[in-house]
Amino acid sequence: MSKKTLTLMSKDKQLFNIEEHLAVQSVTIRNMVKEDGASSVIPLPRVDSETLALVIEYLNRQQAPEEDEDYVKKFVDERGEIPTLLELAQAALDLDIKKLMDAACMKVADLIKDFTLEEVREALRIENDRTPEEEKAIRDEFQWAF
Amino acid sequence: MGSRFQRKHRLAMATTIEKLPEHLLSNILVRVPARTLAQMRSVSRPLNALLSQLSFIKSHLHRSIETNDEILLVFKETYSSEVTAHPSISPHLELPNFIDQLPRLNDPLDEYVGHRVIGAVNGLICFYYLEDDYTIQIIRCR
Repeated sequence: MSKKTLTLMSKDKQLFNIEEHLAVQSVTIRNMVKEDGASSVIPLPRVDSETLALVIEYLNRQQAPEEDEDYVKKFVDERGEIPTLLELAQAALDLDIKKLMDAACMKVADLIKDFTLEEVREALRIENDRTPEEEKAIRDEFQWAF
Repeated sequence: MGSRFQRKHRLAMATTIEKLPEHLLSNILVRVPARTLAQMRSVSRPLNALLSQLSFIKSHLHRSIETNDEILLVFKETYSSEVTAHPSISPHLELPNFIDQLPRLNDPLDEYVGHRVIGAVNGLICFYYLEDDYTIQIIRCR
C-alpha cells in the first residue's frame, strides 16, 4: 500500500511533500484533511520556506515516543537564534503542533529571561515608549525581585 | 553578554521589524518567571498591558503552580488606579505555618488588620489585604 502524500506550499510558493500520516501531527492540517480530503496543495501563507523546511524536518522525525521530549528540546536548542525560533514558534502555533510550539516558546523564554530591557525590546521587536524615569520607578518598586 | 547578542542579531533584526502577534508574545511570556516579568513591565506600555490581562495572569499562575515557581504573579491596583500584574513571593516561604495563622489574619485587632482571606480552592488561597493599597493576591499554599 502506498502512503498518501500531501503537498504544503510556503509563503514564498515553495512546495514541500510530506506523508499524510506525519503531516497530521499538525492539528490544523488534520482538520483540513478531514474537511476536504486535502487532495490539492495546502497553502501556508504565513510560513516562509526556511521555517517550513524545519517544520517538515520535525514532523518527519523517527523518534521513539519515550525519546520524543528530548528530541524536540534538542531540535530547538540547535536553532538558538531568536529570529529563527520566533518563526518556528509562530509556525507551530499556526499549524497547532503543540510539542514544537511549547519547546520553541520555552527556548525563547529561557533566552530572554537574562536579557537587559533593551535586548528584550530588540529580541521581541518592541518599541520603547517608557521614559528612563518610568523604568527606574518600576525597578525601585520591585527591587527585591531583581 | 548584551553586546554579544546585539552584534549577532542586529542584522537579522533589521530586516524583520514587523511586530510580533500578541498570541505569540503571550505564549512566550507565560513561560518567563514572574520575577523577570516584573522587570519586563518597563519594556513598553503595550507589553505591560498584555502582562496585566486577566487571561495572561491566569495562564501564568497556572504554569507557575505546575513548575513550582516560588514567585507568583498577582493583581494589584496601584495608587494610579492602573491594575497591573505584580510578582509576589509565595507566603509559605516567609510563613511556614501560614495555614495555622489564617484565623489571626481575620482578627480586626490583630496587626494583620488589613488582611482578609477570601477563599481557598485546590491549594490556592485568594487573599485580600489593605496595607498601603488594595491588593488581591492569589497564593499557592502547600
